[in-house]
Amino acid sequence: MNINEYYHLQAEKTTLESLLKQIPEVNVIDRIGLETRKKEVEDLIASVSAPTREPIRASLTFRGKPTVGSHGIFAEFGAKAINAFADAVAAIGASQASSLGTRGAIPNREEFQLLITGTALGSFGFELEEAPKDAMLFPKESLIESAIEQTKRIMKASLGTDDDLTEAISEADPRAVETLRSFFKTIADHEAVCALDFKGDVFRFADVGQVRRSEGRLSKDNIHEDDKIFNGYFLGVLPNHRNFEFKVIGTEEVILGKVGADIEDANQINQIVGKQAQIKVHTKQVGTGRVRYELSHYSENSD
Amino acid sequence: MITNTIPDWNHQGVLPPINVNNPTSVDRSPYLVSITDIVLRFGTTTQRKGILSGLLTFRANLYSAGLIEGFQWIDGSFLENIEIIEGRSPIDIDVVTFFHLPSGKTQQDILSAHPRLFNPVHTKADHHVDAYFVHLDSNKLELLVQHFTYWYSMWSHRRNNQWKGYLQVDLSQIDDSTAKANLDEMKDQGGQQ
Repeated sequence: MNINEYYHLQAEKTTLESLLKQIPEVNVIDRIGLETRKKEVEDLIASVSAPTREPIRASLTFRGKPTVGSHGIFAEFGAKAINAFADAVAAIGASQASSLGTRGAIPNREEFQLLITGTALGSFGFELEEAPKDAMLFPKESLIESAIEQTKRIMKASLGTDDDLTEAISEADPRAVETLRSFFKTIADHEAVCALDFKGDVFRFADVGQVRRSEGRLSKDNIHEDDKIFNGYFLGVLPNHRNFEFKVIGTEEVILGKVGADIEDANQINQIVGKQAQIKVHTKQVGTGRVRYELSHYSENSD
Repeated sequence: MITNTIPDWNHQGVLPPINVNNPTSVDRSPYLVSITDIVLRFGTTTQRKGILSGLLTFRANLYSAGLIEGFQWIDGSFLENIEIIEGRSPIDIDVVTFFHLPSGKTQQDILSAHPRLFNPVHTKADHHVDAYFVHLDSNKLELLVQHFTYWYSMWSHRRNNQWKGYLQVDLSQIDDSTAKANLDEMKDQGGQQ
């Protein structure tokens, strides 16, 4: 039983109670069916655990050449666009937990399956919903929620500054960013724009030019990634925020960055503060924006 | 009574809430139809014929109990192409009977004389009918409206919120005799299992 059915049963129980209160006791024929129905509904409610939450929902709508007002969408474009969007959400979601590699299947793809549950009107598009895991209830945590949230964040940042975009894609795998770029390309090639409505907050492209610009800004030519080694010493680490500062020897440069997921206990670094150390960092920069550093390895220098 | 034609199932396997082939017509759910049309349209399998036979017996028992005036709303998986949608036969038929009491009788009189006829637990077992009742002679018209609204809201949608149609049929001993003759003939001819 999904949460909608559960709520419908609860609403029916309340309605039946209200009706039965008003029907005179002498109307035994009117009452007997409703009393039986109320008992059935109560038994049904008691037989299942209360659903913990509603499925995650979003709506993705399109405007432009491939749509006919709020009446319809050309099937070829609709299928391509929704497929590209689903791929982007899955890749961005999966990259929050692990590296995707450059090719092959997206890890845990099944965790990010979306159902099309209806058509969204206004412009034209699709109502999307997280697919139930066991065709019944939804688990407490949803991976899709953060995947869509992050997808929308990158879409928004693609219209912002280079620093905004660097920040938004900092934890996304390059392949995941590429899937989102591919979605932008699909809609721009068809001269369409999209809007993503998620949790009451709507992101929308104003025109095809914006989509093209966003596509370009997510291209590999505009996103510079590298691995670098520096010698110097740590100034300190905030263990909960997992932020570090590192002074590079022989320069005035102080690197601020995040401690990467490969280093479990960030607080350990505080034990070598001020001592000579070598660090390996992954750098990411969009356009001419600020370089973002992620610490992947460190070692104390013996000399 | 001017009756509607029972519309075909739509691609979702339910009766459409309005006649999509003639959307500006008066055809809309609940469709006013004859009991004979219900028998002819839905008596397609042995299981369905058995349920229809139960429905006619249930109606005959209502007439015996004195409930001869009123109408019924008919719904449930019996009206759906449930063989295709869920790969099973219908189990029963859902019926709400909106009735007038015979003069001089109370609901208690009638229930005492026919204790199994008004309890859905028994009507399901005896007649394959999930039966409910609404008394039309109530002087509480607001309550009557609430009753109608409840059943309309429950029956005009599937559990997945999909809008669908259902049927309305008069209580009529004359029509039932024709319907029974049709059903008996269909049983003799066999048909799809």
